[in-house]
Amino acid sequence: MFQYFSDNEVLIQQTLVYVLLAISLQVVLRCGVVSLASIGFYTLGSYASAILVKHDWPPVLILPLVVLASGLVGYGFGKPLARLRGLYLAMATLAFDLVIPVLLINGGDLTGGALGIYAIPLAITTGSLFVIVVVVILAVSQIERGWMGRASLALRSDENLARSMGVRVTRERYLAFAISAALGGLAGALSAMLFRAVSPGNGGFALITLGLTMAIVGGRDSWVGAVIGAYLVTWVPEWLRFVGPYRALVFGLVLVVVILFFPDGLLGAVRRLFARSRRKPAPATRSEREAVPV
Amino acid sequence: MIQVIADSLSLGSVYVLFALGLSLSWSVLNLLNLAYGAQFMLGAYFAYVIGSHVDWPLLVVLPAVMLIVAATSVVTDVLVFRRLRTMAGTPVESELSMLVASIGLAAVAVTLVQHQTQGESKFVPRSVFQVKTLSFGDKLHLTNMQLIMLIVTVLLTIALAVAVKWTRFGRAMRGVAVDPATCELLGVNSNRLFSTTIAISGALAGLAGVLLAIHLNYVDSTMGDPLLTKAFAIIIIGGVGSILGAAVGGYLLAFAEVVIVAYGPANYRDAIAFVVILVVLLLRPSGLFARQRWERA
Repeated sequence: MFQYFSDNEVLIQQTLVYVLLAISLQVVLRCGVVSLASIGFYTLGSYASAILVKHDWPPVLILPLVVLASGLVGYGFGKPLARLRGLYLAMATLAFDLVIPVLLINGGDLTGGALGIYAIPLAITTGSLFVIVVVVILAVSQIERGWMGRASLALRSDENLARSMGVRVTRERYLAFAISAALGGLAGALSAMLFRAVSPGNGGFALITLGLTMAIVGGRDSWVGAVIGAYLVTWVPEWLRFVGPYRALVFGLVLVVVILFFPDGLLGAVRRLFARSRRKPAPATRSEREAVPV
Repeated sequence: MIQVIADSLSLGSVYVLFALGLSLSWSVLNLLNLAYGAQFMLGAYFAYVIGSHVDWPLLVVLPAVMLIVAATSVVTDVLVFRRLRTMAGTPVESELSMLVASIGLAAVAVTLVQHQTQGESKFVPRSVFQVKTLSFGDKLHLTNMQLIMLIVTVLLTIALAVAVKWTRFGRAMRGVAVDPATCELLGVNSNRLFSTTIAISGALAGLAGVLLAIHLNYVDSTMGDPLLTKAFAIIIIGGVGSILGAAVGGYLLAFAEVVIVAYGPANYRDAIAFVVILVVLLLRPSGLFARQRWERA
């Protein structure tokens, strides 16, 4: 057991960080808000934590600081972005993700230009990483089950209806934005502490593809889906070594296939299978649920 | 200064071509096609492949490439996007799933080309087109490619504007963008129209790819990514679906970039697009040239 952990420690750490990133995307997607901003906050968080660790700040201080700062900036972002709907929002946040590498490359000594920052001292253990992820999952699962989870589901189905039922739409949006940004920043900060190098090439399109694959393939309706997604994305390339150079291609294909045939993700597919095998009426899939004649 | 204007006119032409296709598929299909940068790259890549096998001139290579890229986009529409349009219950759902699918498709195309080129950058062979510099007096130097980019763009933009405004096809296209169900009742084959639109947008991406690849003498699997942000900025300036807006936006953005490269901190050229997006979205979310548009509940 111990041997297994030490052999695969990097992969386990990777999975845990990715779980956070996937949850950060799900939090907004679940409210029907197509925001990809948390990818940008991941990159920003990783740089912030890299710089602070190099200046000998203690991680106990850095992590709350990064979470708080990304949350506040995310909330601030929410203000102007709350007016945008659908594709405009997707586009604005995507542009945010794509411009950050440009700024980092031009950041001079502070960000290390195109090379990034490397030789960051190892600042965190797998144990504390695990604790952080568990705490986040507990918090998120409570949010999912609670009032805010139901409000965000209502928001996704019909914004005007949700508003008429007393959901404070704008506030929910800001909150989702802030939580998503804070989680993205946290995941980034942890990744810099664990993997000891950050570079501008890590952000951008590749990370967006990866993040969305994780958030969607497992199932975006629950944190369990995020865990499944992060696990698959990290471990499948290890099992299928020959995939190596075609990693991105496989992710891309999987993403398309899942979107086409399992819109509720693998989790949704499994749930439906279970419901059917117990000879109970299957819970309506998303498409059936929302195919109400207007 | 006259050189700056000439350079921004030619660079802006490619931006306009590129943004037009993206804007078209967005306004008609509600599809923010993130595979669009990959289609642009495919255009450049196929020009390189064709050019290194046969001795065809640009006049043959261009239509061939446009046809190939248009065909690939029709295939993706029939296999993927059509299904997603009909499957999802709410517009928000289908927008999201199409967006995600297009990211997946982009990853597939980029990885394939990356593998084919072994990650090296290539160029379109001279047999396709010989770039020559033409001098107009002492102040102004242009390549023949820059002139071609400008002329092709102006002609195509006008043709597209006329087609969308005055032909039967254009009317149907604008109608479907607002309400596909009603258009179906009126005898418009909306699926065919969507496929045609996506084919036109693919052809424009491919065309822009070939022209820019020859102009910059450079073909690479990731060459489409930076352009995508620029196209976003252009669409935001011009408003979704507006052809005139895309033209103005494309030339404005190119002008700003050429100016900052000539006189300012050149490294920040790729950040301009983002600043534009942010400022316009904050001050005038519907775009500078957008007509009044009301939201459907």
